[in-house]
Amino acid sequence: MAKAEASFFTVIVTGQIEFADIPSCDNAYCKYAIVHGDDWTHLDGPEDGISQITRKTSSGPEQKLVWNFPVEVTYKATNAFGWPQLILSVYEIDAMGRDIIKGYGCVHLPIASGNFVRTVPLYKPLSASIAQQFINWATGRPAEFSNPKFPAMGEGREVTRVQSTGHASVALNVITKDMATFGYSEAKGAAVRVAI
Amino acid sequence: MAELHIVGEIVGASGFEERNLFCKWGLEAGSMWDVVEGEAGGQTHCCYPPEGEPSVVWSHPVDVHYAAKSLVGWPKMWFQVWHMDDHGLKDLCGYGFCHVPTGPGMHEVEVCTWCPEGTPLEKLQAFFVGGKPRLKYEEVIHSPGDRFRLATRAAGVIKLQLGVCVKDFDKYNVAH
Repeated sequence: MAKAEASFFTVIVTGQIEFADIPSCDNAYCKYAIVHGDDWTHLDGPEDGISQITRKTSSGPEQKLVWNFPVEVTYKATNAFGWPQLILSVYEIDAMGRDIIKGYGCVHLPIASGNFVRTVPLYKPLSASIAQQFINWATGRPAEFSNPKFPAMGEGREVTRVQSTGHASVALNVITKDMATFGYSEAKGAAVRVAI
Repeated sequence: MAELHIVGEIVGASGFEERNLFCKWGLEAGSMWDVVEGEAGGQTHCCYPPEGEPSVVWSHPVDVHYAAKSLVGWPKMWFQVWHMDDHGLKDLCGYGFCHVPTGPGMHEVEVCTWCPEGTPLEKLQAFFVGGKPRLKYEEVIHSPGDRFRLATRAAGVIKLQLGVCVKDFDKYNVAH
């Protein structure tokens, strides 16, 4: 019962945050949040979540921080601009029980239907000055972004200095509905793995 | 009007001799193309990779919405890779460009970059005081004009992950 003209299109994303590979980190949890443009409406599934705290083991797969954390979200939209982005923030729990940032990462959800495994590079901000660096070292709180949505924004990055920390792997399955009747191209994407 | 969406990331770069890199980028399209929404250019953060890490991470989001009256002048992306030294001085280390993929879907694009070579005197100067030769006219990066007598050398590779989505191309009988 396909309609000739649709007034919106639907994007259904299922998948999981599989694991992260961060050399200097033994236990961590992962927070995710999905941000989108103004013409998008959230229909179903949580837009943010916090995973369990996982620990690396010598018997586990290649010393990875495994979360296997589900992501299931559905959106409807009238405009492909503002396509949803998945923001990851990985925190370590240190010996004193504090949350220490280990990496931020951000990817756009795939714009084509299909099954994708995306390797998300992770990075953390560096302190703005040497004094700040010393304070951060002394208090054991490294620099964080004051706005957790910052990794999804392209503006104002000129003054940001970051250090790469590792990468996370995210498996995503995308289904699009009514994109063709809405006038958009319907491309099918193959599984792609971007390694950097 | 036919519409084009470019959604993706400037993932990062590898293969540069220098470390601590950032990237200035922009989108260039013909006169019949208009940017409806989104930023068609900008600058990434500066990435300081840890020791032993050969690549840098920019993870810079790109989301641009074009409307086109004609397909002539399909958009292209240009890049300038800059290096930040220990004293906070910046120096150029690569130019490159790529056309936005014309097929809808997900694309992994690698852009090879190059750097002006300069005369032996300029090289000596750059070694001691910094400041490598740069292009006087930056259109040379992406315009199809002459590059005759411009001496360059190879630099690193920029990695992009681009999703392309077109709208109403069928209505104007454009194959995609």
